[in-house]
Amino acid sequence: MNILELIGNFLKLNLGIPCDCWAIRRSRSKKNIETCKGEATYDEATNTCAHCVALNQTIFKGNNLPMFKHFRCKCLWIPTQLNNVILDFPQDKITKYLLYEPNKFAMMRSMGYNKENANEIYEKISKEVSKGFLNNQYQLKSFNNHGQHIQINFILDGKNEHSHELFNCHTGCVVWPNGKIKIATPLIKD
Amino acid sequence: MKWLDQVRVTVSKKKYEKEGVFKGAIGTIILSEIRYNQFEVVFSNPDGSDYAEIEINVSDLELVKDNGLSDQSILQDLPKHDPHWWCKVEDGYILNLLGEKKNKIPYDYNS
Repeated sequence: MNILELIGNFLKLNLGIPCDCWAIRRSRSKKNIETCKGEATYDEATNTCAHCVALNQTIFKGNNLPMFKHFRCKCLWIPTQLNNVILDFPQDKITKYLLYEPNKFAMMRSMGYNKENANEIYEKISKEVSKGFLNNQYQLKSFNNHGQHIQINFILDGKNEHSHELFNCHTGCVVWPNGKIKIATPLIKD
Repeated sequence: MKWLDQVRVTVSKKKYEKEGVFKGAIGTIILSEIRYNQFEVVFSNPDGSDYAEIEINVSDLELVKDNGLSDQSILQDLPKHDPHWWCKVEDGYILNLLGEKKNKIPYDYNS
């Protein structure tokens, strides 16, 4: 990106004009939603509100980013690059929730999946979330103290007795700083 | 109460009800960290679809089923795997994985 493009994108991002580049949100605070101790709070040192701390250093596509702003908000969107995402996705979300909680397990069984498919499901979700986010195929959802939630849709092949079927599914995630995506609800059949 | 435990909402509150969550609803704590004395809880239908994913005050929840996850497992889900994050509620105290208590008076989570 040359300097003129950079300036153009910067202006577009901060004037609310959709822009096809990646953008990182910067506040004056050094804190972000991953910061200890315990919660992304108001930063007294820089007079940054808790919500701006929660969005600080998060990266979105310039035509698909949260428009959160308030009176005297000093946050800016800065053009940036994003080639890879880092997933925060413990395997327990599959083995101790998706294939364990009765309603969720019933849902997975209805698509032909069982406990022995845990690794396969984990890999599939990881791949689809990374691909979906980098291809700007995410939908902005709620924004709360836990951060900006997004949804990524994908198609899941059925297994076993359902191997001839395709299922529309989605994953619920939270966008964390510097290209990190935290997976909240790993898989929901639509 | 902690990550991936099943919990029940024990109160009626407008902010929950407008999201479709009523007193008695059972959900799963889906994110390990406690923020502003709240867990993020997901509520699902019998077919596995989710009808709500909202923050619930820890004081408005009771444990239904302990998932049995270890502290090591919880640590894997905490931001930056930092054990200082508040992430458990036991005997009226909000705790982190170092055993430190956030509140001074049991069940008074703002103390």
